[in-house]
Amino acid sequence: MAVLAMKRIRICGLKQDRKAVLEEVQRQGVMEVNIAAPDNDVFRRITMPISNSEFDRNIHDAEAALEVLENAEPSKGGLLSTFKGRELMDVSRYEGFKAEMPRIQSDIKEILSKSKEIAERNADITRCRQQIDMLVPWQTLDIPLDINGTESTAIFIGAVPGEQTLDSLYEALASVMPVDITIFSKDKNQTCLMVICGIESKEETSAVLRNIGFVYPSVSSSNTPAMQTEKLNREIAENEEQIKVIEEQIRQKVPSREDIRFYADYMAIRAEKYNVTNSIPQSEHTFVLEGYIPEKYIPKLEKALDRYDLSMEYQEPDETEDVPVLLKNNAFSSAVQGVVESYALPDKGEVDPTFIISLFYFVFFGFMLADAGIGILIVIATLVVLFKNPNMERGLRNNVKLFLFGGISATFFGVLFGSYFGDAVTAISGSFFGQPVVIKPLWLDMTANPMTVLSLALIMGLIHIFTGMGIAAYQYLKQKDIMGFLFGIVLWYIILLGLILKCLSMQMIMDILAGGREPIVPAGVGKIGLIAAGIGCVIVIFMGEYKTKNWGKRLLKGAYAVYGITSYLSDVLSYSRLLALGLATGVISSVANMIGTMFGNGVLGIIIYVIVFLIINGINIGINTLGAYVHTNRLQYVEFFGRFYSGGGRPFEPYSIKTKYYKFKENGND
Amino acid sequence: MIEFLTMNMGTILALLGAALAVGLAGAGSARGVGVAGEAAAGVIAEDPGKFGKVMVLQLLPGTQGIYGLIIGFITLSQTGIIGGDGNITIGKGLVYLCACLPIAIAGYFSGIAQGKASAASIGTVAKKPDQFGKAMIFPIMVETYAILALLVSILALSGASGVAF
Repeated sequence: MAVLAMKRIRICGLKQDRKAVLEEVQRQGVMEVNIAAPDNDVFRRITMPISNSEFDRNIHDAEAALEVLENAEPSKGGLLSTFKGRELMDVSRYEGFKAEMPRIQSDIKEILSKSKEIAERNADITRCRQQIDMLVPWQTLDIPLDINGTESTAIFIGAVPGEQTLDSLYEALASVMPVDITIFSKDKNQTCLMVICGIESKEETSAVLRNIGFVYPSVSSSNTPAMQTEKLNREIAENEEQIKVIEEQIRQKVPSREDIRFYADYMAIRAEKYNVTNSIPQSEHTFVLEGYIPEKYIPKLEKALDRYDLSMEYQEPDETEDVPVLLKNNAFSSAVQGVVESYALPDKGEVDPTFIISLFYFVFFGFMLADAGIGILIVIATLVVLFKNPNMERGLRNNVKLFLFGGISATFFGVLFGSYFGDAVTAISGSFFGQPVVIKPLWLDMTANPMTVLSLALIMGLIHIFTGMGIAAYQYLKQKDIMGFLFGIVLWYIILLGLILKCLSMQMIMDILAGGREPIVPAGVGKIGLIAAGIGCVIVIFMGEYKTKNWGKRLLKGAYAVYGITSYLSDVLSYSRLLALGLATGVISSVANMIGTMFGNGVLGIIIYVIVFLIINGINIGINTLGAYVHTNRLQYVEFFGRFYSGGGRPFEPYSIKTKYYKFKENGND
Repeated sequence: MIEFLTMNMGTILALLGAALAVGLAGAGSARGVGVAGEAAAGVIAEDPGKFGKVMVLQLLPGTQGIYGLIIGFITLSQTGIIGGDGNITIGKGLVYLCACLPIAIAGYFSGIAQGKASAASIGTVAKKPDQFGKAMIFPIMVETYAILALLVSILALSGASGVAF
């Protein structure tokens, strides 16, 4: 339960060990590189000959090749493969990988060039198709399109705009008679034709034709159009044939998919290493590696670097430094670490709220789901996922664990309120076995006593909010801000508790919330509570904004702060969602039971019941689990964090092995 | 006709309440989920990998319809329209109608408003997927009011069964 204490670390080593040390530190993955010192005469950054873009290009090529393979033959996976995580890979493979590289690189090259060839051939097919389209109007022409005459004649083959008839064409060409005109095809855009005239009138005919908008065809060939079309079709067929062959060749490369993945990972590891190598200051014979390390990992790193001659120094980070944040929690609480991280990491001086949140989180989650049937289903599903995927990534595993614990809690609350897929037990036994069996709720039926459950929800809210204020108090004390502690927290505890006492002494409130029971607090105590709250408010007006020197402003701000009571009220009321969402799950299941049992006690009735039950409860699980999740998050983020947590810490980004496909056994800070 | 109406007025009023609760809240959700869905589809066109996240955001305005269904169902079963004789007095029918109104009204408008907030949050996730946790909170803020309406409707219904006319 904590933000890990960070130390500044400086490793100074011999240049001859540089490569080995950097690899070792990377493999341990417990240190963030952060170079503070600027270059000077002795130490300066040295840029390595191999440029980063080369690594990037290699990774990019490998990914592209993998994509080609994926298209050729999708890797086996299925729905549950998301949970699988990266495969474990022995470090020895990494050591010996250099020898395999040329083979894999040539594989990648081959796959990419083949994929490029397919693309080119596809482009060729498209080109052929376009030409065939253009040749369509000329199919009846029995001479090549590019012929322009014989010894004594000139031939014009082309198109004029608009739908023309022979008559209108002869009329247009009247001035250059005699000519012979043949129309091959026409539509409303153009008329395709051939004009033959004597060689001596070639120029005039050409001029006249140009006047009426004659253009040569955009496609040309020395074959007749029909033959050309056939030739193009043959070309297409050949290309398609070839593509199939190449695709088969690519498919034969599928077995090297694993190698290429490894290669991509290998390149990513090396890229990261070169990045660091380029950023560290070096002198003629030494190098310096600086950064942050969580204190508890120092022994681990020291042990790993034991065999090298180097000096390691540690110091407390300065007040002004932007120290990265790494959270560390026990197996139970880490389930909600993702919830905290997706809000914000704790800023300097803030506590890690993960542990406290985990205490409330599952209570709220279970309360909002509150159905034993659905709860048990979730527990089974998450357990199966957890056991079947031992390599699951940590973040994902935590999320699955979150739903596992939530499911357990939902089962508990379901038993408490007597909801097993709503009233499924009663409905099934009553409709199909003739004898309704009622499983009595362990505590009470939520639907029948909503006000009591509402009171419980609001009390939980109060506890949650008061806990949040308690953490704020702890933070004030830790920062030795006594004024903030007194006027920001203690005073408000007094005001709120006073008001609560007053409320509990009022018959009206008891009528609403506790079904008309006698007030549990005597009227006198209620009065004292009210007086205490009143005094508290007066102090808030005068001292709540003690930092403001101007008294006029201070009083106004103080008065506004008193108005903040309403925010506590609305925050507490917000927990009524515990009841509303808790009811929703059971009621929807009950809808399924009611609709399902409408069709009688026959075989058909039972089949319909099962179908209705599965569909509605399927939707129910989806919607309400999502609802429980997001609304529990909201109660933490808004009502709880609002009291003490603002976050803003920078996540710890260790210099480590960041791979996509494989996980190395040595890697990982547990 | 007149006779039929006077005989069954209570039931008709209660039925009207259930119809409004399911109909209006459902319509609000449909519009909300629709608006969010349009935004979500746009994001998927650019980056199919964000499907899980944007789908969660799209679903958020869908709950109002469920709340309406809950109220409608409780009304129908309490008044005996399903699974009973379904004959209640005009006064009681009116009580049920009123009990249905909060979720009908708040469900409709909050569904639409939440849909817009969801669409905006989907835009956030499109640009900054790591801000999903925060983006989710904004639509949830809107939902609070639907939940409050649901609560009052439920409390009113549970009180209504005890009201004698």
